[in-house]
Amino acid sequence: MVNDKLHHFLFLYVYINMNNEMDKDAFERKIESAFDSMIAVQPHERLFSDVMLAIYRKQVLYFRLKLAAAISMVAAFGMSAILWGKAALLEFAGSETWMLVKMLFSDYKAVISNWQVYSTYLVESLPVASAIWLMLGAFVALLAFKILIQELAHRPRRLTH
Amino acid sequence: MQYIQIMELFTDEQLARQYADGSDQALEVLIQRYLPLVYGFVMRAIGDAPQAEDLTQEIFLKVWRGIKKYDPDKSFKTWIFTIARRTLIDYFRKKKIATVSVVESDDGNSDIFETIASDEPTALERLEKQELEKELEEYLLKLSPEDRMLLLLYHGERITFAEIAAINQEPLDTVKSRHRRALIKLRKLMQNGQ
Repeated sequence: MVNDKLHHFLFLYVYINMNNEMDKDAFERKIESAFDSMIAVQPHERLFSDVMLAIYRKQVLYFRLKLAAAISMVAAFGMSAILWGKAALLEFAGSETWMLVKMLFSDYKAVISNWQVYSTYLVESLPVASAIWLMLGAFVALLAFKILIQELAHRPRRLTH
Repeated sequence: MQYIQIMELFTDEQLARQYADGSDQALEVLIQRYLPLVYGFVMRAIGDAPQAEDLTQEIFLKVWRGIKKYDPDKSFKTWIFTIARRTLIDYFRKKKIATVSVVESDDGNSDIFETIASDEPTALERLEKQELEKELEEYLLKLSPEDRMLLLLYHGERITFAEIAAINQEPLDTVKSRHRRALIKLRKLMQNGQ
């Protein structure tokens, strides 16, 4: 008796589910077909050129910003390199290094015979700090210059065909 | 001109890679290819042509900004519709339109039983196919934006559930059950003729 009721209930459950699936599929098919038949919404003809123009304007804006940054860096670090260079030259002129260099021309025989001691003194007397600052300034200025050239080579151009 | 025609033969992913390598025309071809799709999706999602144009522009600006970070091993279509969907969600938030329906229930399956087991003659059954097409757009606009976007992506753009799951960053089963619930809501709306 209980088994019969359970069997009946299960049969009804499967039957309803089956009908539901069929009904659901029919609705989905209708929706699918309606979507397929829907006329595609076409954008206005000018929208493509509007989009390209908006991108071009942004490209130009970014290009100008990058260009300004690169020019500023070239100018700032270029000037720094020149100033540090001048300071290094002045330091070099008044340093022991310069005297040792002059000795190389005035008393070269003594230099050759004591070249190991001479080399050590020469290296020790070099104005290392000024030289490092000079090279750092020149390096950053050259790097900024490279970026500047790259930016100029890839400057934005308007796209239309 | 011929160069552009040749480029049209490339896949989206190939074009994206070419743009990253410095070919501006590749981006142009991609935009031409996707403009009608994206605009159609946005237009149907918001139902306002001038606003849809502005949003489409915004979407393509985001595409241009992000294309160099795009991974060509993944579907470009999925990527671009992810951007479109996010832009739309931002738009709905700004407009203070709830993106998820407040009447949405979690037990999607019981809803199916309630709705589909109903014996009432439906308005759908009386609708001729041509009328349905006209009315479908109106009914879609009555759904919550999330449901609307899901139906538009799946039925309108033929994007698979797996791809929609990637777009929405949701589990596949969640997308499927949300789709089922969205269809139920659409059907209810059509039945009631609201």
